Amino acid sequence: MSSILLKYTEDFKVSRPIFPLRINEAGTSIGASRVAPQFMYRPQPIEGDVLSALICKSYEEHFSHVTGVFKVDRDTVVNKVMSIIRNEICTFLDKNLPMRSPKQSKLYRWAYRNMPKHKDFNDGLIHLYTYIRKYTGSNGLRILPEYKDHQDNAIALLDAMRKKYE
Amino acid sequence: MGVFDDKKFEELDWISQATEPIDSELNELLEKLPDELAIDFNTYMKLIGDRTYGIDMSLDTVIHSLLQQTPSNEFDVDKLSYNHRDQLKKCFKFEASTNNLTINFETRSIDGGELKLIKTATTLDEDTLKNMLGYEGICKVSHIGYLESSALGRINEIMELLGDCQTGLRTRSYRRKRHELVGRMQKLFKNNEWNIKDTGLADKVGFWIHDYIKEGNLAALSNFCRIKVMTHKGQPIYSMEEVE
Repeated sequence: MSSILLKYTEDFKVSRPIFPLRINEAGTSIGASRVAPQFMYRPQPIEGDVLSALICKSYEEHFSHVTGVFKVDRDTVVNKVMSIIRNEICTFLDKNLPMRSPKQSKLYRWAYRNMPKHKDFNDGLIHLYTYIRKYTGSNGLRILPEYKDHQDNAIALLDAMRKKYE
Repeated sequence: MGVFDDKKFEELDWISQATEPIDSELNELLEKLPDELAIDFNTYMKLIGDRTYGIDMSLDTVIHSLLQQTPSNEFDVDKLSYNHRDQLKKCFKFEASTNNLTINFETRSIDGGELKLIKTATTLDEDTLKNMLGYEGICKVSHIGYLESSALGRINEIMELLGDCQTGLRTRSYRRKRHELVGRMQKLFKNNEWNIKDTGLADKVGFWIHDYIKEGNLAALSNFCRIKVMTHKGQPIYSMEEVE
């Protein structure tokens, strides 16, 4: 869990439970699973905010016909984003560690298997992730050549985190 | 009344005796289902039941729901097979007065027009019923499963009674025997060689064969033999007196 990500979900709304009924040609079934577009809610990301984009991408609401309302499980959204960030950190290491096989490194293996999951660590990781994303181009998570120093910084920070929490 | 008399046939009116239509419990059940059902919000929710997934509706769910609500003393609707449900399903369709129907959970209503379930056929046609003859029984025999060695003799007895099973009688393989037996039953009901005119009774033939082969049930064998004897009259068979 992370308080930084939870803040982004505070303003989440939900779609209105109004579904068009579509009868198939043979008249054997009625489809009612999609909300009419005008009643559908999708959160809009804040321009230039990486975390907001991730949160909005991971938005998920569930409908229960028993209660008749949509619900969004904020914890699930946050956990989903956290999982994406963890994976991206691994990808970052794979692409930026100055070694022939980064996946064999101690740092990568720690990031892949043993990264802690508590709140403080998650918040730190999120800050690091936003820092990394500042210096990566549109081409995945490879740091742009002109920001070589930042690449070293990010790796050093991760290594420091590893030493502290391992 | 004799043991081999067909009470149901004798009670039929002269037109039915002359035309010999195939009888089925499904037709009676179909009659009990509503000809037209206006579906409002509450009916919609009732029809999809207390399932936890989705609000899509298919004829499967609707027929199941309607059958559950239909009081039926003659037969247990829960025991209706998929095939029977499929046949009932074909007699219904959904109809909407417009293309802009919506189901609104805020106001708990169906807006934009009317939604209906319409019965498109009041009885199952003769061809459908003909294809249904013996189907359930054949399915039961084909899924007979593991048999002990003494059952092979019973399969032979049944094949001898059915006739035209030389290949099945010759082979010592249980699987081949079962395969031949099922094939013979399919042929028998496809041509309706025994002139059975009731789908329920035709299904029972397979059930009796199954019970006798699997468990050595003598009552089942007795019933099977009785119906075999009745076929010698050359009359249509609608019912028979069963041994319990």
